[in-house]
Amino acid sequence: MTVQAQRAIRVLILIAPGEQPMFTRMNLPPFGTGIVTASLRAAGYEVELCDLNAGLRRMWVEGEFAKTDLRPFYDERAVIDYVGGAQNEFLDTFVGRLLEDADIASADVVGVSAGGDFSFLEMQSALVVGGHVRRHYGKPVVLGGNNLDYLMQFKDAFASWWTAALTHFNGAVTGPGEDVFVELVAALAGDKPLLPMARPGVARLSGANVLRSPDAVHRILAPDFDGLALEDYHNFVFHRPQASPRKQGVDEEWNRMQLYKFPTYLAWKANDTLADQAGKGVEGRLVLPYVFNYNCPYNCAFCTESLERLKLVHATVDDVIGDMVEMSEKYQSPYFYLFNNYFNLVNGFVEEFASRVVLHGVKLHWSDCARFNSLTHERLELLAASGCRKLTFGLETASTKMLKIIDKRVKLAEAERVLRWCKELGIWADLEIITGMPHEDEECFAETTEFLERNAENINYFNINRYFVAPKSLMGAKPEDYGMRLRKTPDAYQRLLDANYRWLAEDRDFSYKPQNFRVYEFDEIDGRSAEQLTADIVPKIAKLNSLQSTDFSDAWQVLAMRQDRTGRAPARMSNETMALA
Amino acid sequence: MTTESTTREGQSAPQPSQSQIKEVLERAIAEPEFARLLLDDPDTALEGYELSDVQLLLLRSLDEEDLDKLTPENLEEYFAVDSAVYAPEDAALVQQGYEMYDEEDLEE
Repeated sequence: MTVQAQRAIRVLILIAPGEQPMFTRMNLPPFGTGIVTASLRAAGYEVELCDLNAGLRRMWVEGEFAKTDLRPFYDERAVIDYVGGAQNEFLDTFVGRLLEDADIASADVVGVSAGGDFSFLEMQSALVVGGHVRRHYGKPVVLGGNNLDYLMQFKDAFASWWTAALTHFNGAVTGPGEDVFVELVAALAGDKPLLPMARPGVARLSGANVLRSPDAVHRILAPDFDGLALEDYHNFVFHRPQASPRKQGVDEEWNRMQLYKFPTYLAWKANDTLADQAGKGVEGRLVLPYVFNYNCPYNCAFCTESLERLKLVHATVDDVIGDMVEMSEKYQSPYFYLFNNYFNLVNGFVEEFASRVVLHGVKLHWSDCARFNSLTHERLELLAASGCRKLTFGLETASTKMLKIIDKRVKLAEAERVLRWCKELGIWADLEIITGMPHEDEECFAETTEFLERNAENINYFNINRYFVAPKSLMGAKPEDYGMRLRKTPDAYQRLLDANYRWLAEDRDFSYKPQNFRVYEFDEIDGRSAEQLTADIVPKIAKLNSLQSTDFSDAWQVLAMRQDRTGRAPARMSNETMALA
Repeated sequence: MTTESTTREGQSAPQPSQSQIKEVLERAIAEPEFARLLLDDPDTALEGYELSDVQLLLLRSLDEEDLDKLTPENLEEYFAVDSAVYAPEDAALVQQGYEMYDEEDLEE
């Protein structure tokens, strides 16, 4: 599509801020926004990108506000009323300050990304930012971002959010935005009314009902970050070309450890520590996010991709390598975080990708998800040679009973073999573990902990996830088939907002972020109540955490020493088990 | 908070062993010649210690400035807390995003 107008239509994309900048530096440019920007620019639109997280970070560092000042953002009614036209001096002034550097006046259409970190500040501030733009500038506003998928899955709980968004803004995109957003901009900038018709990927209201349209189809694109202040996303790593070869070797090892071996909380800590030494043998580098496949062919029952089978979208090897080389050169960084469903999804891809990277002498470092099946020693060797530093495997559980129930299709003997090979070949292997699934009894849990203990030497880190009910999964759609009776709570929206505000107000570290996915609870049919399940999960999580490698607590303490900061390291329990479609 | 969490059976969760890193650093504070060797030739300095690859790298990466600011007191503070164990009270806090309601609440 090419724009024929004399003046290029101008799109301003604003990324609504979340809580992360109040805890640590940002370390990854926004992938989804980068994809939409690439698509818009390819279609001939002029795009300005403005990440309000960067502004929030600066305001936070300069002491312009305290966490408790943000209370109105965590007030469902205050935000909804503001979007509807009510006065709220704090919300209006705070967002006005965040938007000071954005040229809203000359934009034809404003896109607001509600982010993708399952952060309530992102979701609430997206409404306020959109409301501010409508109120003060009268510009068309379209909402997007991966959080809209979360909000739509639990649309009964977040009905007021959706009603406000769909009543007062010009569009809200759920699912892939790379083509849908371009179509909406074309219509809005052309001053054409958006008819209330069903469009793929665009949410709508029908009376009081919030309706989700089928998602649009993904397209593989290299994200375009031009226009962002890229230094805001730097990962600070050692770079001392004048140092001895021994010291340079140690630096290189450290950089890989920081970017790939460390779990996220530790990578953040290392980044914050080294940022203080910038210019003194330390320099900022981007780590580049990239995706080249979408839509998983498996149907793991807990996963949001299990309910509806979508056609596989996968780039060719030529396109993948072309994109990665171009991004690496453009942003001067060999470091990538790949966020594919899993790397070894297509037969023959591993061999073709790795052999071409090696043959062409492309220098890359990357990590991705992978499945155990089909990974031979030879293939892993090729992956290591192509720059693979870490693979994350979704094991979920080592209970044969639970593996069968969730239809995981993992063979434990194969998993152990692959973990051993990864260790031999220098690829760090992380696992995803889920505990708290319905009817996971002591025996099931023991099988998992025994697996983790037996393979401890070959496991780098495992993410501990507490199971939650995802409505867009087989288990969420047919809970009785999995022995669950769902409980939905009144006022879930405000209760979650309150929990998130308490987390800020009590000044707890980032690891205490509430489990925002747990909108629904469940009782086991002929089993434990939700209350018992909650009580049972606590020692399980403690047990799992006790099995983590102590290398990471050592690293935390050495970093604390370098920062000259004492204090407790964060407790870790991640909760983001939902596949990000 | 240390590692006093218990399993459902009432058994103590595994206790991480005293960090070898701390032992090395205590020695570097007490013995300046060892500290010098640790900076100049860490592989020789660390012979005899049983260290993981990560621990080795952490120690190899130290520079003079890191060691200069160490005292027995602040070292004790940096290493006072074992962090890898997620204790039950922590888990309860993370779960506070949700409060249990009875069926009757839904009907109100």
